[in-house]
Amino acid sequence: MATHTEQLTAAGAATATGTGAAATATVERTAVRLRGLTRSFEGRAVLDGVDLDIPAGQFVALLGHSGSGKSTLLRAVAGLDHEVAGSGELTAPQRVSVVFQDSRLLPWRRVLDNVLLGTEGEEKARAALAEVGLKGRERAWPNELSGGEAQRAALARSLVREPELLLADEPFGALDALTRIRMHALLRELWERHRPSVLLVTHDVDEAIVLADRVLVLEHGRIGLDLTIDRPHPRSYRDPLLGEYRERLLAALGVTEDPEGAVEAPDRRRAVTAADHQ
Amino acid sequence: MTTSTTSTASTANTATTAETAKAPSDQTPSGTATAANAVTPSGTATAAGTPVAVEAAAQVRRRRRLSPGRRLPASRLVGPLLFLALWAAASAAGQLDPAAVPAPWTVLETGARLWTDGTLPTDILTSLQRAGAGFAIGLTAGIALALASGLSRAGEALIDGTVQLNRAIPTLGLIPLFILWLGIGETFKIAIIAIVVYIPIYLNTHAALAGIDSRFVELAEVQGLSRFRFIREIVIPGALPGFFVGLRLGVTGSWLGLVVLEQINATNGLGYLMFQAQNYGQSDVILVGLVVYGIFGLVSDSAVRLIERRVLSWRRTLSS
Repeated sequence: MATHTEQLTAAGAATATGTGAAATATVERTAVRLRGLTRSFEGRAVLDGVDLDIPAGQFVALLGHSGSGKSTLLRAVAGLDHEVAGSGELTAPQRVSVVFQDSRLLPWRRVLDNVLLGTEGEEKARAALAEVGLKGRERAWPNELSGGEAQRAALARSLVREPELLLADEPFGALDALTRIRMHALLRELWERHRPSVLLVTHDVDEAIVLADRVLVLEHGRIGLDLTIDRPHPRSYRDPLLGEYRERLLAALGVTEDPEGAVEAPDRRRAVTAADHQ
Repeated sequence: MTTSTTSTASTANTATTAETAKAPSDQTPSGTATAANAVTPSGTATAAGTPVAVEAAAQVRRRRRLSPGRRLPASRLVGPLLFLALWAAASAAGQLDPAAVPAPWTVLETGARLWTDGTLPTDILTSLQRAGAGFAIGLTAGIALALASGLSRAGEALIDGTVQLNRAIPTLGLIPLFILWLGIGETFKIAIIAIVVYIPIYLNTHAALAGIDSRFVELAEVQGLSRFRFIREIVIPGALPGFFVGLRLGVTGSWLGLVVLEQINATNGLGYLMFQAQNYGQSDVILVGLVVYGIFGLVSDSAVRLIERRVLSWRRTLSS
């Protein structure tokens, strides 16, 4: 076991330096390029001329209200929107992996075989499972895994294909808060080691701020706000500087945060009901 | 209980981060955060655990269990054995007319006599051949038609409506027509059994194929599976539970068809044996035939269940 992990870390370090050199050489290379992308459902334009460039290796989070078209955008980039009307120019890399909100493991295949779905190379799959902390669970059935473990397996499945672009559609939305924090750290760690471009769709502002280097807000079918978050990693939820980003993003999402009002409002309400009962 | 599981999970997690953390980054903030989270709740839980448990012991009862619970050993045999015991007791007490319902040991003796004089083995073999041939054809046809109809829109348009129509006609009602077409030989019997078998297999397999979770279809597209691999690795394994439901109905159907067919226009086989016995008033021979039918049905159904449990071992259901 010890030798195995040593091999793993050595391989991890090698790829890290390798991609690091590659990243500096091809800074300008774009992974995703969208021009005037529109998608509409029953005549209603959900995406209305989206222009977007994601440089290779960038970690981007996409925020928006439910129904704002976040998932539509992700599915368009993934090439999964078969019967959706739309136009525009869309370029994406060859190797794209998608992580869904549900782990989407096939219940009739063991964890290792799920990771291998559509690819070859058992050793790579074992290494990917070890990387997400599922070493020793290769022979387990998916319904024996916890929610967090299942999502780790889904991450391993997306990693083993060595994606140039990782699309994640609210991947932690169904997890409990503690598991989510751990998964944030894991995703960031995996990104640092493999350096794919990431497009993370989420409705969680804090998740976006803690993880991404660039946060987009989708509103009225377009990118309403494009914010670069220039803070070192790993980030803490309590970092006061991140609070400023948070406010700007919430404002862009139409949520006004008034701390005094928020504190006082319930008290006032309680006073009123108390008076009513007297 | 939940706190204990999360704390073990977090220790496993910190262990893995510690292993991998040698190379790139220091995970200090998140690492300490999870450690702190793990320690404090579990610590308080164990400290507070004992007094709470003692205090609540008088009030807290276990919830009523809604699953049927652990399976009894050889539970399937309990009912039949009880029935047999009642039958034997009633016969021994002289409560049953021997001409109408002979005693179990009389049936056993008759069975042994028929076996040794060679009539029973011949009849059983003939019946097994009929049921086997009809079942094999029905199984093949059911699977082939379900795949053709479930995997292509053209196949569905051609096949599904036709089968639904066929299903609406009681198959045993086709017997006169089939005798006219195929003669009173073996062919028409096998054809009828094949029809009785293929319909439930087709219906259940087709429904299962059509009901494959669209999320898995999406997954296959994302993973870049070819059409062939998509069918082999997702569609067929996903449809297997439905197929087994159909298979069990088909097995039962093949015996049902056999019983009816061998009582009409038969010149040999178990049904013929029983038909002759009816003419001569030999109720013990009729019971021998029924027991053999029963054993066949039970054995074949158990065989299918066994295969099902092996193949679908990933499933966890109420019955397992």
